[in-house]
Amino acid sequence: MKMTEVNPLRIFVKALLLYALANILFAYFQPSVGKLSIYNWLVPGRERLPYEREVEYYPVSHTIPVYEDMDAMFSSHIVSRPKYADEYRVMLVGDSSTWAFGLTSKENLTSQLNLLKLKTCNGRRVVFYNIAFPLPYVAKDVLIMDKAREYEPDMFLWLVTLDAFRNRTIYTDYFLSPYAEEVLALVDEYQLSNLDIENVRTPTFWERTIIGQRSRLKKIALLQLHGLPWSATALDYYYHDWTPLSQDQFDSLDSDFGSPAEVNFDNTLFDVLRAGQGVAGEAPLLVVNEPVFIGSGINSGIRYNDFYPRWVYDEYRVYLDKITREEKMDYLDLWNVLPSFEFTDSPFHRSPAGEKLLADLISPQLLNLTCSK
Amino acid sequence: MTVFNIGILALAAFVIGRLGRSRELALLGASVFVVYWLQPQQQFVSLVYWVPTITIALTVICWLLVSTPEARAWRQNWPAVLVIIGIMLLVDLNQFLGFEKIYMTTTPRLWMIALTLGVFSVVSFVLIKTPRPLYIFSAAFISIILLFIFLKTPFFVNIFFEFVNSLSGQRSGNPKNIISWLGFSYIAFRLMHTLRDRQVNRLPVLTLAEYVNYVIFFPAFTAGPIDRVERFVQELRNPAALAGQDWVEAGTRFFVGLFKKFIIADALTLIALNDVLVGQVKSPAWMWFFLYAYSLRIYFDFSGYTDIAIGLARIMGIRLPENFASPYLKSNLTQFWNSWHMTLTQWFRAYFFYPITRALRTKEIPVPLIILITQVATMIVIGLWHGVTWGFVLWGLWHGLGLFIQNRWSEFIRSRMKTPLHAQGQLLLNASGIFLTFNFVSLGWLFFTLSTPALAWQALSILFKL
Repeated sequence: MKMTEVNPLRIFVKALLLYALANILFAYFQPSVGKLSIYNWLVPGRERLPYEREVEYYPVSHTIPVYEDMDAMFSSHIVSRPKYADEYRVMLVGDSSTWAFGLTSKENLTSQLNLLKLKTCNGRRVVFYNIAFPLPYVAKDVLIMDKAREYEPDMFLWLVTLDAFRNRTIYTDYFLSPYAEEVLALVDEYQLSNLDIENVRTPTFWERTIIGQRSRLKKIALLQLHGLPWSATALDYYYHDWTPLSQDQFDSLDSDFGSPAEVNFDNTLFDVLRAGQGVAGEAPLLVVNEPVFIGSGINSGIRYNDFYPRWVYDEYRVYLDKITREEKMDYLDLWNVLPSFEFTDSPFHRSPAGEKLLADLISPQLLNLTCSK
Repeated sequence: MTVFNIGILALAAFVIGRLGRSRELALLGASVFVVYWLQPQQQFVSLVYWVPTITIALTVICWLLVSTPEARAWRQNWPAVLVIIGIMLLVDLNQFLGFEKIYMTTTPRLWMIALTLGVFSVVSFVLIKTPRPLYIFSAAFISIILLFIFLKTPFFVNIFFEFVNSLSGQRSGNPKNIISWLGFSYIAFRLMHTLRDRQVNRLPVLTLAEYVNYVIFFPAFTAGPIDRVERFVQELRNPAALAGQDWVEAGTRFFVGLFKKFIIADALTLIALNDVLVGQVKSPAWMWFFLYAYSLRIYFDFSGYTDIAIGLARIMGIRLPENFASPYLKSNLTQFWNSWHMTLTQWFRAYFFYPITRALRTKEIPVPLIILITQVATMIVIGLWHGVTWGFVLWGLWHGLGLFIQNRWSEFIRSRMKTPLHAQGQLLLNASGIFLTFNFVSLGWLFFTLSTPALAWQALSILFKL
């Protein structure tokens, strides 16, 4: 047999052309790589969206946040498993307190609600899913709700706090920018004039290639690998030691929302609530003003906690109540229902007992909604 | 090393391989630069300068020791001296030259460079002018071992850091003081090899460029293989001209190495057994899974680096020795050690195992006891080469005892097996041998990778439900 002379240059050029072609095809077709997942078939789905604050803790908490790819985040979650015929799906949306910093996925509000084994008035099992993501930013919540519609929600439970209504460019860049098309569509449909979308733009052709998407693709692959230790340990978060909150507050009336003489919610994202209701569509939406820590020590007369001076938080509650009435939204104000010792490392993060108490308080209204709509 | 680093090295290898007479000096310049370039950040910033500088200085001092007067002739070595000093000054003075983006941003002070050059000139002058009795080679050999022990023993390093801190009136407060001396383990082996061979008159005549190129050859600088000097110099002096097929082989080896290291090994890192997982995993099945993942990770990581080194060297027309030969597919522990980090085991065989075996055979000691002593001692020393900790001692002991038991078992079986096995029986025997060997080696990694013997014991308890 005649041996052909090997020409390394030809091999190199061919490989280069094939790689270029693969990049072009990838950019053109934009395959949903994130939907390829080992979760829910090879390993159990996660009970919360993947998140970890510190890169150094990824190997300890067996997770990696893939905020650039909602498909990957949802595919790793138990919510992406098929829905049972008798299941009534309630999805919890919110920030770190709903995601449940400092608690295992078995101790948080979602688990406490599931432990109640609620049934709708027509006998369907109410199953709760935690799809919160630990950023206090309501615009991100609406985007997640929009995505969650693919997973057949019957109801949304949306826990909010004043801090989440602040307009933050940094969070837009971090969480919303990768979903430019969806975000711009939401802004357009619901006239979200306050949302700062200056840096939100659709990716260029080159940004859509494999090379342009390499970071996202790598994270998706790593999320799959993290699924194995997750499956072995059932741990999805690095549980830090924490210092109990001080009852004393610092001496300041400062806030980002104007002055005690004139509260200013002009540049806030309260209009996003309307978008949330629109996105929920037929599924009922229950908005909950989540409990906050109320200090009783020095300066507690002027502040509730590190985050909120009394003057602004009181105004916020009035304002939120007014908006939800105007928009005919189902709303529960549970801001002061928990004793201060049921908070852990922040004015929003709750203890397991606090979560249980909150579940007991939410469930009656929630059941009412399952029957009324 | 990152893919970026390796990409730059590949480009350098390609260019150097295409050069004619200046090839040796270009390789020298690249290797000296790489010693500085790849050094990691240090707890003491100035060590970023001192560690690579001492590496180069140590190499040149060893050359001055082992070289013959003819080899030291200024006429043939001045270009190498110029290149070494030129590159050292280039990287050390980069703060004045504006190369911070290429190299480190923390650079030495001028007095440090002046001190280095001054001390080095005096030492070189003394070494050139003074006669060298044979014991000087032994003294240098032992000095390198002592330096090695110092660097690999956390206790001594801590004392060093405490001392330096006390000089500057600071408290260390860091219980894990380490000096990251990239490549020292391999450099030390090469230096000791040349010192020993010079002592017994086996060392070929080497110019400064050849010697330094051998010790800090940039493709093999960080992770081997540990070549023999006479073989390496032959390759260096007679580089193979690459034909089409050679390019394909070199490129394939290089890219396979990249794939093994940066795709397979790095991915396995996430699921490889570590201290954290031992504390978190309760199921024996998962513990075995993570242990196997570690076994595969360490293989792909190490053999990946070796493939990259062999590929890079090949691009320059230099063949490096093989370091791995499918070790996990070997049916007994002796075969495993003949195919795992082969150049290291060959080194220890030549410079430790055989000498102590010969020494013990002169005494009236039963052969099995000699085998036990030599196997266990060799493996413990190999363990200590990785670091002076109880974990590495236990790892060495594990393998030493394993090799001894396997040796005795083989002898026992050989004396009783009169007829060879059927093909199927042989196949079954090989398969069970591979299974046993792989599991034995994997269990040994517990002592190697976990930070304390207590954790290794905890993992063993879970694996075997003890």
